[in-house]
Amino acid sequence: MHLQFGVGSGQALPTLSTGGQAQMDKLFRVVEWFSHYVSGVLMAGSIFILMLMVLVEVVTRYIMNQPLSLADEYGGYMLVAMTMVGLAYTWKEKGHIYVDLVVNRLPDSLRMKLRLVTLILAMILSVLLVVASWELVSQSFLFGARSGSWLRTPLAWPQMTLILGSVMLAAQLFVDIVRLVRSLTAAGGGR
Amino acid sequence: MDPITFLILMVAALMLLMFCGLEIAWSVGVVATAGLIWYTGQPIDQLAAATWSSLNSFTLTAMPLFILMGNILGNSGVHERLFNAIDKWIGHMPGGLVCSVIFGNAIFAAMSGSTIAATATFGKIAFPVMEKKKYDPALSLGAIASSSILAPLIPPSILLIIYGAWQGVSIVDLLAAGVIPGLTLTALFIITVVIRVMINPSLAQRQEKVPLAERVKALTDILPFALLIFGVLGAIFGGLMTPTEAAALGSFLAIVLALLAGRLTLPILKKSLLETLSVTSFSLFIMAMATVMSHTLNSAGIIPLVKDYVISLPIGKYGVIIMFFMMYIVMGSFFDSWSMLFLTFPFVMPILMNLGVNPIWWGVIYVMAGEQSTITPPFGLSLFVLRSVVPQHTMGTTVRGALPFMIPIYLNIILCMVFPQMCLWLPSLIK
Repeated sequence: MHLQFGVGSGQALPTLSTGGQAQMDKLFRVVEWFSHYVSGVLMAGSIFILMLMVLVEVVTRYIMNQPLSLADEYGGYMLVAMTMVGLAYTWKEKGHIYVDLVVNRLPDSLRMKLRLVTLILAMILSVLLVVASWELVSQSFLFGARSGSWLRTPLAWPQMTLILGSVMLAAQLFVDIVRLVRSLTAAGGGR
Repeated sequence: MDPITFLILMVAALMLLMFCGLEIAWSVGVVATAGLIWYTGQPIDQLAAATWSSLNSFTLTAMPLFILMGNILGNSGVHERLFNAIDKWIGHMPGGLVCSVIFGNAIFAAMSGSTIAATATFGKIAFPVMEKKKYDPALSLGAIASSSILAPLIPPSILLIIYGAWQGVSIVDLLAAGVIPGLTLTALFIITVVIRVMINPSLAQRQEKVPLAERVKALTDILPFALLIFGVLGAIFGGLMTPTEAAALGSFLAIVLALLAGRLTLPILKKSLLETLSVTSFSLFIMAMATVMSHTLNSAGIIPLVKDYVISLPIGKYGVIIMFFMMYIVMGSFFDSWSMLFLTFPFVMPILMNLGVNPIWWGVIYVMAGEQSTITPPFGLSLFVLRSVVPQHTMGTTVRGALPFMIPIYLNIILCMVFPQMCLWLPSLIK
């Protein structure tokens, strides 16, 4: 949706490639595979499944006169999953909005350094989200928290999507940070 | 540290991060979490708990489903046909294609509900035709940018769904409330164009009237989609389905119709789903982080403090509303209407509720107040979208063309203020 400068995927890597760097690149490809297929395609598919689930609910209510009452509860869980697990994909595709009024006027080298700072801040929040979600899930397990519906779903299970999403986001951010550091050092620490 | 200093610090930090280019959701999240841990001394798991409770909402699932419906119709090329059909019917009016764009936006609004999609679509399909026919580019671009405000007003409105689900206001009532102001604004837009073209006919040439047979054919082309819209909205307002159920039915029927028309391929379905995912994820994550912020500020006792202060101001209910308006005009230079909603409503809602403002009415007013900011420089989201779709014209041209359309927008806001029944009558009928 927005204009953003290219420090993410597709950035040409420095030609100097040591063994460690090759390993790192392999890791990056794995992370981006997850960002694309798990965070992106799988979650996009879940929107389709959500649609079918809600329709089944309508059919069971109107035609069979016997509502399943599944969609009410699982629809909410799926929305949490889509939003949180979808974060990494949306980040990779530069879909998150930001204010570009100031940064667009900065010289390239300064802008890239500032981007490094903001990327690290984003990474910190993502790691805090991992910790917080972990705590939440552990508490749900500990107290045996269950949903109020007839399904009595143990809440810890759907809450795990929070952990999955924030871990994948942190991984994607890590890739972006290393890429940016590489292009900063390749540019000789800024001109 | 006293709460006021803390509030000032929070706002300053938030501004700093956002202007440094950190994504809005993360800016809010970083500041809210820092305040949560450091000032209120609460455990970190509140971050996840607030995220979980704000997102775990069945009502809110109407949002991705309506976005999906709009994306499928948009990506399978329904809008071109829609625009052509409308143009055949009303293109001979003064203002020609400009009126078709406005009318097209009104109908498009009933399928999509997204300002960005509306602007991009009409920039792509209508502007080239207008340019070829030597229409004044400022008028053309201005009309495309400003009439996209109809998308979040005429149901289904994604902005109103988010507002209702987040703040616990009936979504059915909100969607119904937008209908009449949406129609009056469409009329006011068209009147503005007709008056401008009457004064200066060189702005837009009149087109030949299309033969009736051709017009009828164009109508049958889009009839199935019109039925889809009326079916979905009818199911909601008739009380047959919840907005989420109607949205699921709508996207399902959109898929079926696009398939029958031979326009839906697997890549188009995939693209539509992925676009839906992106919009859902980015916007609802801002909402989740804003909920954390709201939790932090409430725990620190700041929201009640600000509320009491604003209510004690000797300016009355309308004075406060006008004050908020000013705030949105300033903020609108930097933010879009969704972000402004997430950033300000934790403060705005308690104040307005305390002053006895009807939340349904306020929802509609906010849509117009927030959306007018998408066509005001320097930020204006619609301006950016148009700039990328029509790169041969400067943003200045669009702004110059959009300014006269501010008159009908503000006139409509004043009408809704003087006659609140414009927003509240339909919701009262469906009760």
